[in-house]
Amino acid sequence: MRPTILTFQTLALSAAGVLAKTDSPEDVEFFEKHIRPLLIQHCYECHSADAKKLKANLSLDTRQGWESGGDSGPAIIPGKPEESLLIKAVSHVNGDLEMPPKTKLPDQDIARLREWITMGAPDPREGALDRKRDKFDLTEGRKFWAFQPVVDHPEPSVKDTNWPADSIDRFILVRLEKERLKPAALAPPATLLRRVYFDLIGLPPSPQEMSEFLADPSTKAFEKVVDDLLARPEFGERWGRHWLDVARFAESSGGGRSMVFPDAWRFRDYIIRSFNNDKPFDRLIREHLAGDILPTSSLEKKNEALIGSGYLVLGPMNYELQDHELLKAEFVDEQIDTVGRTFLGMTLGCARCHDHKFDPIPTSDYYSLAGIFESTRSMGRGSAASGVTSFATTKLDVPETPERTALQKKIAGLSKQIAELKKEEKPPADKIKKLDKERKSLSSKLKKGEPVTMAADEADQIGDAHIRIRGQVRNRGKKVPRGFLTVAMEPDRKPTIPADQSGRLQLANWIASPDHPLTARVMANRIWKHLLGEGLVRTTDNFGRTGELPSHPELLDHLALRFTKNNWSVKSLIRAIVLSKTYRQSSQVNHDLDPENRLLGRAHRKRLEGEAIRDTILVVSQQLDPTRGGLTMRKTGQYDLNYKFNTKRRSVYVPWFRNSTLDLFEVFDVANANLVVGRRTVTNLPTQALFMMNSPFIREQAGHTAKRLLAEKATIEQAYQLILSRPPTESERLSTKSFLDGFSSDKQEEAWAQLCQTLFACLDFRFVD
Amino acid sequence: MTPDRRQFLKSAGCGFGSLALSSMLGRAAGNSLAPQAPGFPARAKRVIFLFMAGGPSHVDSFDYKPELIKRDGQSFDFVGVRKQTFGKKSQRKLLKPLWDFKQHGQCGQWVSELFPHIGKQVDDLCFIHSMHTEGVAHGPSTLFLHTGATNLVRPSMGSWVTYGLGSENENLPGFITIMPSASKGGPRNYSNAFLPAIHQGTCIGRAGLPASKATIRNLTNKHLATGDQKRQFDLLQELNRQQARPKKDTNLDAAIESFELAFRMQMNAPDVLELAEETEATKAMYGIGEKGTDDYGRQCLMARRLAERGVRFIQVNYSDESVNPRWDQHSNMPKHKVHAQATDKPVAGLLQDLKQRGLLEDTLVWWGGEFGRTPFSQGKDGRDHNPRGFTTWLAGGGTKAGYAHGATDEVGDTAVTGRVHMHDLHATILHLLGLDHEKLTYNYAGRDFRLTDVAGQVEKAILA
Repeated sequence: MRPTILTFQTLALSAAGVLAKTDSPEDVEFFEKHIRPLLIQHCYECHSADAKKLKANLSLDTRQGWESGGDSGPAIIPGKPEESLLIKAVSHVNGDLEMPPKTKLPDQDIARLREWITMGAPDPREGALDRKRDKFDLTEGRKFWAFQPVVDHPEPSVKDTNWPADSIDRFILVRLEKERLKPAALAPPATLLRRVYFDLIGLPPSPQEMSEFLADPSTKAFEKVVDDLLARPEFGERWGRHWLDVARFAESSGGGRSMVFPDAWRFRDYIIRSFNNDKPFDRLIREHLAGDILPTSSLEKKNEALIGSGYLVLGPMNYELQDHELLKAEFVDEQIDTVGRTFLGMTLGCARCHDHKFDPIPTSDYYSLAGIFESTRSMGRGSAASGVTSFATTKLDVPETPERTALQKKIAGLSKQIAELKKEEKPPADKIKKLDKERKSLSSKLKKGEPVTMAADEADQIGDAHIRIRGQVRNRGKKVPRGFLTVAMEPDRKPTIPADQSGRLQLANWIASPDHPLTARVMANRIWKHLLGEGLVRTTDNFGRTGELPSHPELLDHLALRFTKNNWSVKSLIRAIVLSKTYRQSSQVNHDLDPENRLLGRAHRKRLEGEAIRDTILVVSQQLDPTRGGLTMRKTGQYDLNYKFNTKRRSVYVPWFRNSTLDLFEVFDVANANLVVGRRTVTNLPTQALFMMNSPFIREQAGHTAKRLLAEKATIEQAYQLILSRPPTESERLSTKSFLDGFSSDKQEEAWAQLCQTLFACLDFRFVD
Repeated sequence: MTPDRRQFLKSAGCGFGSLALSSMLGRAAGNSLAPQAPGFPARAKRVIFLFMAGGPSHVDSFDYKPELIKRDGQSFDFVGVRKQTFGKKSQRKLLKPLWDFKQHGQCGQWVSELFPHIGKQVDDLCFIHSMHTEGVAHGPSTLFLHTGATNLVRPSMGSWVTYGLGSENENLPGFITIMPSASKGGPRNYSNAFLPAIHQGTCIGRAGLPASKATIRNLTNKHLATGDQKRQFDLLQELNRQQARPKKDTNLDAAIESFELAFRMQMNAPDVLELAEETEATKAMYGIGEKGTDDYGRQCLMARRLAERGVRFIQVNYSDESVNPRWDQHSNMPKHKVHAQATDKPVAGLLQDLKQRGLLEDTLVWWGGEFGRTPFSQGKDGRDHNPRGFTTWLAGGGTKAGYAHGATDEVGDTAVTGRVHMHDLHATILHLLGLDHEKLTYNYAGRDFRLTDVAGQVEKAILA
């Protein structure tokens, strides 16, 4: 539907046969008189050597130009005007291909072009094409670090053998030593405890937990805390939220009319559950991509896997698009792009319209994947009447209980009774009506216990996809067999996808293989990022050429291997990292030799995310609703606009919409649910300051906190301890005291509310050392 | 301004200009609102976009089609664009305009009775009668109008503009949208998407609330008097400085400065939105105080005040939050009259006011909806969406005045001559601002993105 650039796929074969033909003088005269001027006037601006920028790789200023054609193939088939793209384009019959783009040529000119092509398109303009075509070289492409197999590097030997607590530390230290740098001192215990609490569960330690930790002299004290935190249900809420960012989870569709997904919460709870149960990550991959067709051993596991496949269908989509073919293509594109970034750190979407400009991903790979997702049912069967397609849901299996069996029996009995009554000569209308009413009410009772979940399904029609030239849905090229990324596969290993299956299961198995060069690296890097503040590859969702290179490639491999060998256990990897010396360093800057801290000679100072800010405030003010899981959205209309958020649940349970969100989340940089976000943007805008200074939420919670502190007859020290997890410095204490003293004794609640608000707003609240 | 404020500004005004601002906002590319020089001489310094949500009918307003009047009631084949009829032809009955047309001004442009006030300003307007766009439903087309994409998440035009040019006022955001709708893409229509967050549109009020109550969120403290808040603010900044000092981290210094800027905004911005200091004559010109025109009049006057203070991109929304946005008359075309009345005088007032203050020279005014409406009827007296041909007009900012470009076919269905795609309009507006739409790119997820994707041509014919 795009306005029309005549764009032609490069084909290696040019119409060699035609080259030998010589044109008669009359033919050449016709060309010179009618055709050349026309081409110069209407086409050369974009399709000649003199063009400011050659459009669609198509030159029309030499014969060879139109013979080999541009992105969409040869522009002219001599003798066959109807088959020539040039004629299609100038006739403006296809909205995707209209040339010249602004105004249609006069009919007379089109007739001449037709005549000329019928004559065999005589063209005396010799001259070779003056452009180099990038040849796709997969062998060369495989040499890029990210496509190389993961290697088990030997642990490096270091000078300071006392420092490392884990092999991780050796990989870090060896680089520091190479630059003649030393790691920072360990963070003070209170700082470390606050850090590990936020990193693992997204909440601060209570004053009591803090004092217990500080009082515990055992060398295992920290390890004990870590194991305790990993086992808490809040762990899954914290780490599930990280994954929900990547899975671009939301409870509405986004787009124009942002449709509410009333059952998407099941996916959210499933994610939290998965992280709490330390579900092997390769299992999670399989459930995400093929949960609906995965063989399972129990009803419970079947449902669990089915919910996991919601990943594929709850993405952002404009269900309103009226061109259904385009809508389908957009869906497939969203899935390919998301799967690519989530698991492989590859920007596959780039290959929709042309071979990837930077990574070795040809368009044919994109459409190999497209075949898999075109063979997947991702949308509801929909209501055509409203012009808006619906989203995909599947019934969950419910266990047969005696109660349900009884209900079913009753319904069947009623049906039979009704059928018999209807057979009577004079069917008793009243009685039938009464029985039918009863049947309906029982059915709806039965149905109430039959929940649905958003899920993918195999499509009615399964098969390979056509390449869409230049990404245009109606511009079909050849079909390509379903498959995966050629560059990330061993040469000569072809995927085998049965003709009657979409191929998602095979795709999942390929991605979840421990030998895959990308999957484990990408996930290990994500985990590292959340704990250390930056990834070893800082572009967590882009491991391609346009992404950054890893700062410690050997360490990344080491983590990836450790991850897969440990049965893809996320908790084990987190535990190992957190117990390392690297993690436990202080954030204090001692030199300016590594301003971006890429060598990790200290801890990154991190900022609390919006969720952690809100949750901490609600905990401190004792207003948090501790309920976990379930449907949290109040009954709403069909769309998410103007939803009134009023829950006091933990942030991960706040309804998560694409077109409307809690103010606090918007201001404090939560992930955009329309994009795969492995690394949130971190901003420092005055809107954040305004929110802290003026929003009713902060003021209210500060009031609750003040009341609490006054009731507990708390001191200034205790207020700091509660909100900042540390006592005030002497000068802070003095400033605070003089501030409080400025209020008369009957204004103490106001004074303390202002103090609490100030502590919520201050730097040491928002930053984690 | 109260003495308190003045005193505060003196003490807080540590004189950080654009340099400090840009360092505060981070050193990453584009992460700054510091004014940037355009790529080549700009004709316009800022844009006021008068968004007519729902799709006003061009054949009833600015696109005069005698043939449509003549053939009223006759049936012709039209190609469907809706889901059920996509690509198929069907017989549709032409419906003549419901309002009479008249020639106006020295240029003699045709304008219908719907817009008597705007009609008087035609000598300043530059009509584009040959617009066409993507999408058919409101959501996709509205997103396309704002972001150049019907489905994918892309930055809004205002975000691109501040990304390219920065802001001229360090106390105000560079991109402001007045009373936007939460519907039809909602926030995505003023979202920075993957551009740095500083380029996100700032909302003043929202659709559905009276314009007299419109303000920026969290801009004022309802609880504390300025002096009391100043005392609290001083404690905060004192603690902040104490906490930051030993850490020597520019991020912490930046956070402290963002509090200073926030306080300055809190002191300044409310004055900008306060219309009380405008004369009665000015307010009357915008239709403020009159039933029907008060809301949009206030919005337009706010836009002028923001333009005067150097805000780069100001969108003035005429929209609501219903399923059928305001101009969306699938039935009951006569209702167009209500919407015309609500906007006609305010828009004409804005044009006159900008002109008399010399602001029209370098302010580009852009009037239009996400698409137009069909020349054939839908039901008894409605018209369906028409993305194939419609009218948009521009004024000032280096466009030809009293000029009309391009044309739809003889009944007004499809743009045929001098076609201007929405991408082309975007390219042209960026051009007027001194930005090359092919060079205004941002690298995200491995690829350079631009507002016009891989399309767009500057429509040179409309440049003065």
